[in-house]
Amino acid sequence: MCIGLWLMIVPAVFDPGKVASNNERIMGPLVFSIACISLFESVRNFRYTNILCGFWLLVSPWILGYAETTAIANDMICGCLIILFSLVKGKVEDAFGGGWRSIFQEDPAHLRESRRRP
Amino acid sequence: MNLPIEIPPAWSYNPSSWSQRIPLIVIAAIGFLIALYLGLYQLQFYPQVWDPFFGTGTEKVLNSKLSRALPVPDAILGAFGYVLDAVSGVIGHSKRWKTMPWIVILFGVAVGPLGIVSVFLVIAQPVMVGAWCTLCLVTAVLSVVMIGPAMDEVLASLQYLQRVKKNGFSTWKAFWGDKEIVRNVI
Repeated sequence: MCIGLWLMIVPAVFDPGKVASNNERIMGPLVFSIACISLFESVRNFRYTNILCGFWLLVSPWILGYAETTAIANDMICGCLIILFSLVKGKVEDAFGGGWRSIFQEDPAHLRESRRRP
Repeated sequence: MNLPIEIPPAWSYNPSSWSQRIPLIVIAAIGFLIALYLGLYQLQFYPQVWDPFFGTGTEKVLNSKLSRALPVPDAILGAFGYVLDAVSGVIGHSKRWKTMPWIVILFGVAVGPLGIVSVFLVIAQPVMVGAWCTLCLVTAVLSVVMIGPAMDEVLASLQYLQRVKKNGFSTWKAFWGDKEIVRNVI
């Protein structure tokens, strides 16, 4: 989340040029929102989407041809950190009847549990 | 005896309970008030709008072509979205994941796109307009915060519909809350 916020602010701090600024201004809110949604346990796996964002931040300085070295370094470091933090699952204390993947399962946890109830 | 049955099978809590839903309804209500305030400015009910950080940023954003691309100002649409969130959050009792799947799905559909649209608008502020708007950012955060906690109820309803199907009943009828299916399927 903090990295997303940082990406939104960074164009104002460094003035890294138009292309880099716009890329950061697009990725910032995306990373922030995905992180914010994934805070909640029932949709925790949504965090993997941020790996894509992190990966894009790693390669985009080269694809888009950033002019400033600081901008390249900044975005690549952010990308690495985002990927790293997206892999951390964190605490999940509640149970969700097998979670979202249960919808595609033949014999999901909630169905087995419902048979046990009278 | 009533209470434990409200919890969906293999869940540790009931996503439709009031303690789960009231915070969302409150957030939607706050979002509605802010969006209404911004929308009334766009409809020119008052000449100025409050922005503690970006000065005239809010006015630039609210008067931008993007904000006025549709016949109705975008903040008014946002206010309508929050009303839909709040109303679909209020309707139904604490077992509605089972008895009223349609309102739960509607709630999820209302919360999800509202959040996605506001993320898009947050991107558009600096990239397309070149200005920031404090209250627009606040409403965007509110609508993104609502997505996570709203989705668990949607999941419970989808799982219920899945059980209905596996037990050989009509998913369509169960979606509208068919009482016989509610009695037969857990």
